[in-house]
Amino acid sequence: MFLIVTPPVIVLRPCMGRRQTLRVIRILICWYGLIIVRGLTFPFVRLIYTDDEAGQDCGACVYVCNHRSSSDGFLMALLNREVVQVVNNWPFKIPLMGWVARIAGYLSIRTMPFEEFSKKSSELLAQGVSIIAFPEGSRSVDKTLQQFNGAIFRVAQAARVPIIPLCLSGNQTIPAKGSVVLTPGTIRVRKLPALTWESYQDFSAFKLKNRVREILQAEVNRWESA
Amino acid sequence: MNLEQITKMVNDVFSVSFEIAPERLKSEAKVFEELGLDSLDVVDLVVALQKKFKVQIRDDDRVRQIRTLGDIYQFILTLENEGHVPA
Repeated sequence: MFLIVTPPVIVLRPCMGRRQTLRVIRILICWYGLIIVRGLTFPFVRLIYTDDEAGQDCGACVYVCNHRSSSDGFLMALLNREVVQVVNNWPFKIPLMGWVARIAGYLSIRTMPFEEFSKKSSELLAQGVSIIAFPEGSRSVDKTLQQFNGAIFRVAQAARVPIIPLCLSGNQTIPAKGSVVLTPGTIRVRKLPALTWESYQDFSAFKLKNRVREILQAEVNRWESA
Repeated sequence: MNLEQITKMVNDVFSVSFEIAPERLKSEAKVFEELGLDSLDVVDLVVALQKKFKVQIRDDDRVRQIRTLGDIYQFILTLENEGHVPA
């Protein structure tokens, strides 16, 4: 990732503003992710991506995703748009990759108070940058989703942006927890219909996070009991 | 106010503020793991409890020790016994 991101940024930085530079960095991170999930896994891992609202662009939004594997972050490249992920602190500690994540403006939920998280998230959304969050915080150990942290839902409510549930399934063993070995299999990623602000404006943050959790849990159940 | 009345009033707070079904509101229910509250929801809970019982508990360190719904009942009962809850 470092090699993909750094040279173009060094070349283009003098003739671009900060905002445009960040946009290029985030798009390059996305391309890097696509190389990983489309290229390196072929032909052993089958990847099925479905978008329930293909062709519709609802602008800056919050993607809420269930957390199954360390590959989840890479799979977000399938969205193919400028995004920032909400992550734990450990990705920032990965040499080079952590540096790129930091300059791309990824949000470290563990190290910033809610007020700061909310301010930075709101600024990103106002700039047209979508945010991806894994509100379980850590990987679910089985198909039952863990309880959600509501911080990102409060941000979405304040910014009045759509919330798009993203359901991942099949990658819990690709790779399994504690391993880096990719086992053959099928990964499904489904971008579910957006919850518009109009549809959730009367919800409390608690109700909203649980509503989205129910949507994702139903989808996981549908796939994994089939 | 006895424990039964406190239990009912606390459960009312959870039903109204968090829309949690009454059958889930058991004394042993864990506030975070089972009922699904997070640290931000706890702030909302404290505000709702303060309003319901007309007490100031925001700065009370004992709030941090709460793990189950039963802990909340006992906490309010303690406040009652200490004379902090108006009759």
